Amino acid sequence: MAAKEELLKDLAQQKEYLQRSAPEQRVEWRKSLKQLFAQLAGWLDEARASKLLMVENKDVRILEPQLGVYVAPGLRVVTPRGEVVEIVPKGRMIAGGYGRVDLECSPKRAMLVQRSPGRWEFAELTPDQGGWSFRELTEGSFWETLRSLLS
Amino acid sequence: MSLASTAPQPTDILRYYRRSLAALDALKKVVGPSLGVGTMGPTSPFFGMTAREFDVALAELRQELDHQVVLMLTASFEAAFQTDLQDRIKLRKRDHASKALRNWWKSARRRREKWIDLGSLLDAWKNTTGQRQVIGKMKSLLLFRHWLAHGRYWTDKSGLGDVDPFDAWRIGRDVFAVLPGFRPLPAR
Repeated sequence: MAAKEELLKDLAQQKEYLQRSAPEQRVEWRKSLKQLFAQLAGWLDEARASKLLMVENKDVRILEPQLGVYVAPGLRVVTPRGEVVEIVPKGRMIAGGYGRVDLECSPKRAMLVQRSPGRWEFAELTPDQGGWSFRELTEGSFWETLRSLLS
Repeated sequence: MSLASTAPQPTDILRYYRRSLAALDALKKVVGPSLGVGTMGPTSPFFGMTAREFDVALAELRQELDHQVVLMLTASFEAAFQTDLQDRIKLRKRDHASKALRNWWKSARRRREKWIDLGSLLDAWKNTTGQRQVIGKMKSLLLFRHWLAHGRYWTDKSGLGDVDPFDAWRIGRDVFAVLPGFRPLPAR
């Protein structure tokens, strides 16, 4: 059965490629996230120290077909009123980028996308089918986003 | 009432469906390789999606495509029934089915309306030919079509489950294969 043999050969090649590349990609991704979350935690430190915000580290379990299961860092930010913003990685293998982290304050959500390695940007869907617009992640844009999520 | 010569035929609609399925497959092949690399443009509605989110989006697209094509296919079946009835009336065909339908139409139509609701027309066909099972399936498809056409705001009562266009095609093919005077639909 030629079709069966061809397919099994393709699958074996896929498996071999993933076994080779996945561990390295996971390591790089976890390093990228560690740097990002260290930066975010640094920006939140003053508010945390003044007890204006509660900032907790959390572990996020992620399953991606190409990378398998792994644990990534996340943050939970809680206001004095009890409103919660979860800052959670969504995946490394995203369409059009090198990873995504969401800031979720239900029902609102903001998306941080790593469009090129080491460069994080907020991605917003523009109205009227205009596509996506991007804002570089800076301390200023982070606080603007947080304020928008909590308003 | 003037009949349009450009009404899409069931085969036209099925062709559209096949092409749309190919387009969805092509979409999957385009987005797949862009996962984890920065090759997708910032205008794509799929930008930023994880693999799982994209699978869900594809499934939603497929589901909506199926529903819309079933609606169009059923409408094209209706068009076949209605234009057939008008032919039998205008041309005064002499076969048993035509005579029976003409007699039924004279009593069934209200005032001078020529258009008959398809459910009643299907009942007339059932009484004329005795083909209860295939016509019963078509009536169920009609119920599903009503659910789609009226905004899906009630629970679907067709009893058919989730109908895809190939299921709807089979129902149409089975009916047109047994009713006299209709051109049979090809296998698929």
